[in-house]
Amino acid sequence: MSSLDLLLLLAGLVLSLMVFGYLFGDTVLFGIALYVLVGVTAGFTTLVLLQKVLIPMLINPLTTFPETSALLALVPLLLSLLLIFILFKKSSKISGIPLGFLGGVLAAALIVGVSRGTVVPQLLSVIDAFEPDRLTTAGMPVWSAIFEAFMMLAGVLAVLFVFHHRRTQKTSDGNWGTWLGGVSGLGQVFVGITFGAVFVGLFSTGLTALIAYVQNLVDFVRLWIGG
Amino acid sequence: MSDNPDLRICPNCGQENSLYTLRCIRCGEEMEELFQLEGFDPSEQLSNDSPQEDQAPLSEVLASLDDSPLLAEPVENHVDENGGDHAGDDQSSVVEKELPDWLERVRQRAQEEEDASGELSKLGHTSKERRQVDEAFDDILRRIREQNEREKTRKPRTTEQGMVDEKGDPEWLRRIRELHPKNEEDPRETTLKGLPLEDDDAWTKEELQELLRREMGISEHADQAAEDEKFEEIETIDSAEPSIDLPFQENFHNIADDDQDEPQEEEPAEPEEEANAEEPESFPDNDPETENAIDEPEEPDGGLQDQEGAVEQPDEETAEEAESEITPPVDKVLPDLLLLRNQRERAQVLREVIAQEGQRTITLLHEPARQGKIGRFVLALMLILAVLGGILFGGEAGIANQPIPAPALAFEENLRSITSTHPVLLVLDYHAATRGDIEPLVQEILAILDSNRVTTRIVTANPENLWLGETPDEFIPGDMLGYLSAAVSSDPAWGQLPLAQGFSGDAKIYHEVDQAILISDSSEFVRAWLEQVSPWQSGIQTSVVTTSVSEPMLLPYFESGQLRGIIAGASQFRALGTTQQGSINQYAWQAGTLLMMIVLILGMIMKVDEDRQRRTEERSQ
Repeated sequence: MSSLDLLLLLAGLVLSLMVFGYLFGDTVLFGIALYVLVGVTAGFTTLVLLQKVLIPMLINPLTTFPETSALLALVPLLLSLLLIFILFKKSSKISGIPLGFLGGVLAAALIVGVSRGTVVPQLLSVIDAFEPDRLTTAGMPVWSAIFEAFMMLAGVLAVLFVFHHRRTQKTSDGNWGTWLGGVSGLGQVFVGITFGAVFVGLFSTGLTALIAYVQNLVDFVRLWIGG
Repeated sequence: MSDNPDLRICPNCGQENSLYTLRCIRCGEEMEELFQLEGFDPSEQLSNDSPQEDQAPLSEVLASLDDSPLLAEPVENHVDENGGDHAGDDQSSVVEKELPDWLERVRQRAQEEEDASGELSKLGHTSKERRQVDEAFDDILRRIREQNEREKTRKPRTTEQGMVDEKGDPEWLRRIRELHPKNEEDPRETTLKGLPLEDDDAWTKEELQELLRREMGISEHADQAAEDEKFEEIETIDSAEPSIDLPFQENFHNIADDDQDEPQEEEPAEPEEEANAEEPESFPDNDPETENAIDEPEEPDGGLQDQEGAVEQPDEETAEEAESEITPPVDKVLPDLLLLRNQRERAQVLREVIAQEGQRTITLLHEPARQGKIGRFVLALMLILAVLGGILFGGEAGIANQPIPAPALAFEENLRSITSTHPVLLVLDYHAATRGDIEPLVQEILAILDSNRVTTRIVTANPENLWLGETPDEFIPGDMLGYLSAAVSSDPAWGQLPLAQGFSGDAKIYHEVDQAILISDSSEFVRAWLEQVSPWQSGIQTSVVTTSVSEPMLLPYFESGQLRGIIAGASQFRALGTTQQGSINQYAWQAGTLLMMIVLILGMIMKVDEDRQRRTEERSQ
């Protein structure tokens, strides 16, 4: 192990202990470690953007002027310059031009993407679950597939009723309100199961990270004491 | 007459007295002559043998009565206090009862004259002049009646009879009973804190003052000292403000403070109650200085304040001493003797509200709990110790022996089906915090692909991945929009897009790619890929390497067929069918999981028990 690796391991040990200091509250050591992380990340990202984005995609094409690619490079350059006006109060509205363009593109991509990538495929998946070929095998019903299909449909509808019933809870009354409340309760069961699974995954991920870093600390100590 | 227009010189002793003083404060000499009308001396009218000298002034007096403001306010109040005239037929008789003494004397004098019209006839010598005098009288009486009627219609005042309830108790007695409800329980005991009530419910002034002293907590000794001070003759402090009341007397009313003048200084003084009953025996003139002196006796309840013009004023030192002895502390002084109980309660509430100024009255929603911080520390310490114990005493790190889920099996099956025909696109988008959960899987996947001689193309849009794990071949600017742009773009006929110049190699990252493996710790990134890129590159089959957190959110996409497989976390390392050791110690992982399961179960039991206890308390309440 080189001295540089040893130094990096020592720095990692100190920073890890500083982060563990959060167990005692928002201490100064935890704040220092956090600011180091943010500062290093910001500086590294700036360098990467300069090297990988601004210079090759914005500056270099201008050198080929008057080629078409150079003229096209003027468009992002102009929009980028307009963004500078966001720093000035009086002329900050000018920066709304590139921001509006960016927001419009994002909104359009999001709407189209959600429709084509999530809503339609998921609805088709629920419908496909009731395909006869899946529910029967050699003319005999496959009860597990049938149960799965109905549970999927019930889960989708019940979860949708959770949010619908939450808005109309104050106005609904009588049998209809009771029925809606029951469906909504079933939906809450599905939502609770989902959140439980997410929590298990969160804990599993955190535990894995903890084991990895404790393992690194143990390895460092073993290396330091020659064990 | 003094130089000061507000002072009067006593003709007997030369003492300067207030403008409103009826008796000299030094010798007690009546100073009524000060209020004589010019040209009219009732003491001389009977013995005067030369009527020619008085006839002219008397007519002037009558003429001046037309314009005298004396007949405006004072007379109307006087009439009003006595109930006013209730019938038109009895108006003249009622007004005669209300006539002041000077008017009676005028009439008496007129009757004693030889002529029925008195010497006025000699003055006028004609019936015309006599009619003028009669008209003057009639005019005065008519104006008195009109003013009385106007006053009644404008401000109908509750008569004393109207303030008596069905039991015959006056209003002031009801208020006092409200203040002392205990005394009301025993109707026989008509005493109020030891003060006997008379049968006719009439309280004397001494009894009321005694009651006031008890309310204000003034001792008898202090009261006696005040009484001693009151009888001393002392110098006037400010003769322009002659009405100095007792400290109790200023509160002894039920009139709003706005309706009366602020006393300049609280000094003990003796109220001359005789002055309250006295009527000015002399005629006031039209001098504005004397008009106030006439006004004061006419005011209702004025006997305790302005009407007592002959109040003796103590000197400053004596006043301060008496004040220090008699005046209770400011916070104990009641603003009004006849404050009702609810009024006192409101005042108390207002006092409390003012006292709470600047204090926090709403509890914080997230008040830092010391117990929670300690519990968090203990829990974290236990978890660290469990993991440390698993690492130190559990032996070498091994592969976690856990059941393999179907998405992980599908991922492994899809991975091994990849041949060397087409390159595989690896998209990196994870952070340093999850590298321990992802990088072991990535290393194993790359090993499998390398064993199958499959070429890979590694790209990322996250700068952090440039120095984490595998070094990417390309950096895609713009995050998901960069992937989208690369997916939808095509080479124009006129050259190359500026975006293409940012790539070090081939800008067509999806070219001839039929398998893409997303290596991300965010389910949002995977979902965005499926929404933005997959619709445009439908020929690319997507698999995911992610963390355990994101796995539940991605399962619907696996069920719908949009993902070929999901492998989540190092705990599913065994799904890749390798015998190599993972970086995650199995014993440490099991120890940590077991500890957290115990903590969760205990937490749920405690929560259930806490809810049960709370419901029990709510039912008992």
